[in-house]
Amino acid sequence: MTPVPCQSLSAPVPGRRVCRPLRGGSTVGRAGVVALGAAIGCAEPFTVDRHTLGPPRLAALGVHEGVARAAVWSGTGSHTQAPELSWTLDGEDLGEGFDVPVEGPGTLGVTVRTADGTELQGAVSVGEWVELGVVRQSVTRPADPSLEVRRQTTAPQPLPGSADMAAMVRLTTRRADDRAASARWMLGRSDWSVLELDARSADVLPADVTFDDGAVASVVEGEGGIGPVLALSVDGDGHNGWRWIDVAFSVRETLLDVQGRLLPIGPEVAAEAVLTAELGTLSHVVATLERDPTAASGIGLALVDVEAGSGASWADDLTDFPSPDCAPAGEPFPLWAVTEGRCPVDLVAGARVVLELR
Amino acid sequence: MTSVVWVLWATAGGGVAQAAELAGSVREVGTGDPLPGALVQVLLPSGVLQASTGPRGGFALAVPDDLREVRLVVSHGGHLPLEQDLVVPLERPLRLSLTPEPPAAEIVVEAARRSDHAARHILDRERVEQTPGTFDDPVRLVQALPGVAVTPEYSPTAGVLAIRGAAPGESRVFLDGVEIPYLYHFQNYASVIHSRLLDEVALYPSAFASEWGDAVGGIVSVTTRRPDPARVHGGVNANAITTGAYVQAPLRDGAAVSLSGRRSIADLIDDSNDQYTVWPVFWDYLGRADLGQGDRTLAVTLVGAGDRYGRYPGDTATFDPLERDTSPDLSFSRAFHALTVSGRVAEADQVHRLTLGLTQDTLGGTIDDQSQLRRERAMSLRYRSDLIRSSAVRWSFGGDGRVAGIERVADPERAWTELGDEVPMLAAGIPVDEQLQRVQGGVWAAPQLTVGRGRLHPGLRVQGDTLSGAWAPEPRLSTAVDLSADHRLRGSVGRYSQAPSADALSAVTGDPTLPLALSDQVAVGADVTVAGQWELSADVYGRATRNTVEVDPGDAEGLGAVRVRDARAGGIELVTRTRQRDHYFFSASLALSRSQRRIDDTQPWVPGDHDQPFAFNLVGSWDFAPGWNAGLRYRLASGLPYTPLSGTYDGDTDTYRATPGPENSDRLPTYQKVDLHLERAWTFPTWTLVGYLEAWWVPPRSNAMYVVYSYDYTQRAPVAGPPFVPLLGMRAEL
Repeated sequence: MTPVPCQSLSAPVPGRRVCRPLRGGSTVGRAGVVALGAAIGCAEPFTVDRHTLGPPRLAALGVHEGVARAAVWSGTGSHTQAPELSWTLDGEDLGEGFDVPVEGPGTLGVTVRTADGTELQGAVSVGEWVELGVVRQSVTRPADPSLEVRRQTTAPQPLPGSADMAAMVRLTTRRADDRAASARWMLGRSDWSVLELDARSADVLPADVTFDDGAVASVVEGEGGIGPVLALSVDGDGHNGWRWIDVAFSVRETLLDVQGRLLPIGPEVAAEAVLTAELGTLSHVVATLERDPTAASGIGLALVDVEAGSGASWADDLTDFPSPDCAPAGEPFPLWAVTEGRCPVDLVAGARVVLELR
Repeated sequence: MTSVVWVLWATAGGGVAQAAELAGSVREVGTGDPLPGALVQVLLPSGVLQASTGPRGGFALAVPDDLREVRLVVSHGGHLPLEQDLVVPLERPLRLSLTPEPPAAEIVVEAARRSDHAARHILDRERVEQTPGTFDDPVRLVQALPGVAVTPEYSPTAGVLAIRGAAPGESRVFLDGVEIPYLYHFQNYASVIHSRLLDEVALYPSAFASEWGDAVGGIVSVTTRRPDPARVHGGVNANAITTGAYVQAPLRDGAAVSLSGRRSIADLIDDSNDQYTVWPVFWDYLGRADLGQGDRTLAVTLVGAGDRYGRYPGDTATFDPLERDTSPDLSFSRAFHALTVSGRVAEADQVHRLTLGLTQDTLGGTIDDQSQLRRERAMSLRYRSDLIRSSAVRWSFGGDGRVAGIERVADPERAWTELGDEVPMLAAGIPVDEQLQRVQGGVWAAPQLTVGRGRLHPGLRVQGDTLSGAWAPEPRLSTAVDLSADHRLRGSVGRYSQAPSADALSAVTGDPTLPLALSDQVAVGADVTVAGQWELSADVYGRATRNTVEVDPGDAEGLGAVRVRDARAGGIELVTRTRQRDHYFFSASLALSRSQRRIDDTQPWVPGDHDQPFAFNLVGSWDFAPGWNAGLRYRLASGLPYTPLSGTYDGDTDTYRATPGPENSDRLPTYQKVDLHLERAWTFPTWTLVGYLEAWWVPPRSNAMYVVYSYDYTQRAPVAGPPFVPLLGMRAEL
């Protein structure tokens, strides 16, 4: 989503400018008033937006199963090098890396240094991790994507894979607890838009939607493909939960839904009727992770040699195909470890792993 | 009663012929004022008939009824004579209008006016009305005076009075001797005083005399105009933003009243928009009644102003539709009313002045169901006596006091730190329900000794405050030496104090132990008048202040600590000006200054918020043809410093908290602005219509008003004001 563009009255600087009513801006403690009549201030638009994952970013913080966890976005969906994490609790050093245990209460602080030298800082109250489910549905895309019109759309349909470009994908979070919370959405595609619908839901449109004065100003169609979305649920007290999920538009290949991520499995795998027929009932698969030269997926990896899991539980296959050392031990390989930098692509490329499907 | 004088009455027969009456009235063009004492002459072949007009401008003459054409000549001191051919008898009484003579070429030399203060700048009505860039608003011109920080129009700092590097709260603004809570609507837009009722604006930039106290910055004293006791004046004015009217009328026995009112009109055109749920509305009024004349006068003034609006507290330019739909609504309202009664008694060797004021200032605000209310009611008293003992000795003494009750109520659910200037009590994030009382005041005495060409003005002021429980003696000394009629040296040195605000001294949201701010100031200056009309002035000043109160903006957790700091400022001001009253004026000033502050002597000095290393002002106005006036104003000033921010991710809310970088380590771009003013007056027999066009132009990249940051504070961009703004206005006056 792009902030409203406008031309400065004299256009002293070429390009689009964001015009705002005159006031103090976001500067802490600065004056906060006023303008009358036609007095409007203009500023060059920012190239970052909170709805777009964009450049390296600390996208979420929390405590997951007693361990500090940071969702570090590299800018591409995967990391070439693991970011350096330094943790504090109430200002005291707590440890470094991805397996730092945390006992609350307190304020968990982190300093992140990414491979390109970017330093990011953040803090969160120590709270309970909340399992977060995200439901993906398809809704007919209205010509007017304004909030009022989208609220009137009905009959969303379950969406196992790719949506049509004429549709929009509605994502709805479901927290495992009953705390009052709100969902925050971040999208890895700058030519698409994620537009909130209410405190739990949002619509992903394959188009860049621009608003002006609350009304839709322009809709620029984007390209089809797969786009990663981070769904974050926060309650304000650190009881956070988040999930990476992919949205696909106009993707013709068969997509395997692995923990919410949509991975193309190629025609040869899709042709295996047994596997594809069983996908709806399988709990896990075994696959080899390969670099994705086409960058078609949202995590920079492709699955090859995909096989159905051998048993009802993934535990049986895990003995034969343990996850790489960078990932949590004794569990199927989590794809979020790739997205958040815990497992750089170089460390996992070529690994044959167990992937839980749900 | 019309008086008629027969100078010559001659007929061929020498007898009395039948006569026809030639009657009418004589008035002034533009005002319609009657002109008593005007000489009305009828030129006859056989001589001249003449009469003088009565108190209401009326006259009547008897002319022989056998005449069909006569020539009438009317003259009156101060007006151009009028000649007119008439056909008699008249069908109706004549209405004759005389045009005032152009004013004499009076050169105004400001430096020639003596003052108790080492430095003083005066703006009178002519200057403020014809200076470009005021948009019909007189007090905006204060920023054109040397020593006052120049800030971009309509920016958050547009209305600040940062005088010689002092923070805005360190200066005080008085209207007819009583302090008013604020001078500008919405802190930065239009002043609260109708220009037609303004007499003058005086600025005492620093090191002022003992008469003023409780300020470590400067003093702005605005005085309203005494109504004309002779006739009715009135007018209406309107431009794209404001409309207003005023009237002045004489009463009996020399008494007179004046009334004015203004209101913004933009909300009548558009009541809400992208940013505002309630479009900003402001209003103000001023009434003044004067009794007595000459040595004993009494003036009663009632003045008030109010502002209100509603808006979304966030940055709507970055709102997504759901944020726009669910964003809380901020409402702001502020209003004050002030009643002042001031009397003056003058005798041969003494003058006494007394001013009593009652003020109420109410600041309200809500964010959804959270509200704040701050109401201050105060009674103030100001007294001054001047006793002239001889040509060499004058005693001046006086005092001022203020008794105030302050009610503070707020029930914030969180700290709205980003709204600190609009709803400071909600911004603090601390529930408050308290009543504060304070008594402040000072007494002073200052003899003035004249020795030869020099004047020495020592003074002592004692200033105290019950809320802080502190008081301070403030010795001051000023001197002036007239080296010649065209050369003068000035200087002053003194101590100044200021008590913290009641809010800063609050036990709930502030620190009751805060001390008085103490400032030691020195200023020297020189005035030179060249060829009797060009003035050149130079001033050098310095100021060192301890215990200036600052409120740390804090963060989302709430208001930061109230703390004290050291501050210092110094600079040079160069001014040149020339003026011929009612014809032209020109002035240029250059101020070079530095203003710094520090937490304590272990910390480095950093630029103050209003540190402006240079500021250049140029103003010119010229009545280039009858009824026409044109003006030009140019400003060039260094941008004000600001503290850059970086962001820290807040995982609880998925937002970013601002983290201040090195204090005031960045600066807005240099500001420059050109204002043009063109005015045309059409004069009718009983009224005058004035149309004016104002326009401003800001060169590219010269009008950065403030800085905005991206959501994560990784990017920042200056917000530029409009580069070109025209304003067309009209006013009609009786």
